[in-house]
Amino acid sequence: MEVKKRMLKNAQDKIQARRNMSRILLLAVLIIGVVLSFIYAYPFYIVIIAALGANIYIRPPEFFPSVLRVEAFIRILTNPGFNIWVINSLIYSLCTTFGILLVCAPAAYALSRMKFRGRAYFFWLVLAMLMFPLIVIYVPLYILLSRMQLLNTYPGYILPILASPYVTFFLKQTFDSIPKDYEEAAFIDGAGRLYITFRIFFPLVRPAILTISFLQFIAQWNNLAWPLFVATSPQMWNLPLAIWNLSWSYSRDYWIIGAGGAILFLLPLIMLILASETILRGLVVSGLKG
Amino acid sequence: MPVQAVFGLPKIRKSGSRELVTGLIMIMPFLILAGLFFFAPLVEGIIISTYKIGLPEDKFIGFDNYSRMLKDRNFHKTLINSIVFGLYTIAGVWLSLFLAVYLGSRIVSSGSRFKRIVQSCVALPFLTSWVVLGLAWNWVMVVGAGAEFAGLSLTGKVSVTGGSVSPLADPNLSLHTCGLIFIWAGLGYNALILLAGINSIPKDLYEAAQIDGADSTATFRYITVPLLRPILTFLTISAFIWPFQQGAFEAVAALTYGGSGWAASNTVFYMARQAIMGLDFGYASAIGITTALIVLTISFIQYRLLYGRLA
Repeated sequence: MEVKKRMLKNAQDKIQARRNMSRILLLAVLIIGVVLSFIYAYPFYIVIIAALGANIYIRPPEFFPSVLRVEAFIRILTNPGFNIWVINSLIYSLCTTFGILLVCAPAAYALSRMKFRGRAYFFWLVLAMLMFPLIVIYVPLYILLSRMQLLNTYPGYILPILASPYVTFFLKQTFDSIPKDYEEAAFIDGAGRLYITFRIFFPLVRPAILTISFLQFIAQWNNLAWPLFVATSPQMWNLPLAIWNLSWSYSRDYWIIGAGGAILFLLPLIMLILASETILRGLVVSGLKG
Repeated sequence: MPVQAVFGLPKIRKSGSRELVTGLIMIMPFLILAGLFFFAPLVEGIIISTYKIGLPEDKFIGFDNYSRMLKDRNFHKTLINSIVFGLYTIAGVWLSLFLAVYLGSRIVSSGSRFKRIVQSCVALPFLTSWVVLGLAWNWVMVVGAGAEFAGLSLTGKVSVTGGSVSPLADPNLSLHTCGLIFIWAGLGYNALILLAGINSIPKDLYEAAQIDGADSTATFRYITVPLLRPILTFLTISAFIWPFQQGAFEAVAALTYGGSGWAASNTVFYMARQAIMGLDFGYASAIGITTALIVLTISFIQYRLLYGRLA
């Protein structure tokens, strides 16, 4: 009896201890979470408040703008000297995203669904390009483009980055994961290649294409290295290159830079909020950086 | 010659050869663009890496660019910096593993409405341009430096204000500050991928381990890590290659502009500065080709580790 009681007491103590432990753990997790999210959010926050007119250079720094000003946003979107960069950015990202899909989706389809001689070599070529650090060839590419008179032109910016090994590989993997049964059934029913491709295959892969379009759009919207090499005149800069150049020049109007930076990250943020499922799936599935 | 071929009528062919034509047509745009803008510059890069590009005319100098590179102190520095960055990003992968296990799996696998928000927030630095991240961190570091020199100290480069130097501008600290920021930037992306991996581990394994009396450390050590090995290998090697690629170029460009005396520059940024500022295209190409060889070697090792064989 005595032993039984002691055992019961022991067990109760253990449960109590474990409960306390888990409570402490939960608190620790919460605190770590709050600290981490603060560290995570603070850099983005400082860009926004700087754009809205907070003076970030006084001591102690302002955590809220004393006078709310949206003037910087208006100026960067309406002043022809500034908004050309926003427009360029939109043109570049939209054109490259569409172009990349036009070039890479057929190539991925051929890799995944067709049997022809040389397919294996082509796949190896895509893999080799995938492993290659593409920035290395920007230097000779700059020379070639200047010889072709393509520097500082829209085609000179867009054409060289259309053959994307990353997108081709991603789409090939996705196409491979879709069973061929539907297409075979349609083929037996007498459907032609075009009908099968556009009426049966395309609806099945539309989510994947949407995902890669979003990811490519964001990647091109953020692109700094490529315009740095190929867009040497300020009229051809995109927004990241312009903001970068301004931030390393001794400009006093830091709120303009802040507004540019805010626009630069608000667009991906809005896309992430509107289509988080699509974008996050792409990040997780691809396991690759664009 | 068969009549059909002469008149352009459809010839009865085996389906294999018909697919050859359609297949080639479909890969043709990719092949042409890759040939023009990948292979041609690649060959051009290898060629000009043996030249001294300049006025009055380009001069063939053999492997002089490469031997100059081997003796170049600054190149050594940038190479070591790249490796240090790689170690930081690898540490980031393992840190995000703990984050994924101890924080994420509680929130994300609970299926609450919270999940999507946490995931989105965590992915945000990865989807943001390095220009913004660099700007933001520079501002965070120089906060409170004195309003009258706002313009000058914007980037933290000039330390005329109140004696406070941004850690990003300090020659001794900038490398490690950048490394820590790289960990911050990659944390969410790595954690997302690792979480997907953790969620794909069958739950009965954990239950079986629990019945056998394993505590959480043991399950982590003997179940989670071994089963995540392919993903961890992939992420680790990718993290090590990352400092040699475009992303790290942008990061260095935005955070420190290479730092004073190349203190926080990686090889590709050094290459770009040689080309754009120094107009020394031959030397830049030599650095570029070397970087590419390093990356390809590590990628090859990755392939062997992941698949255990070639092809």
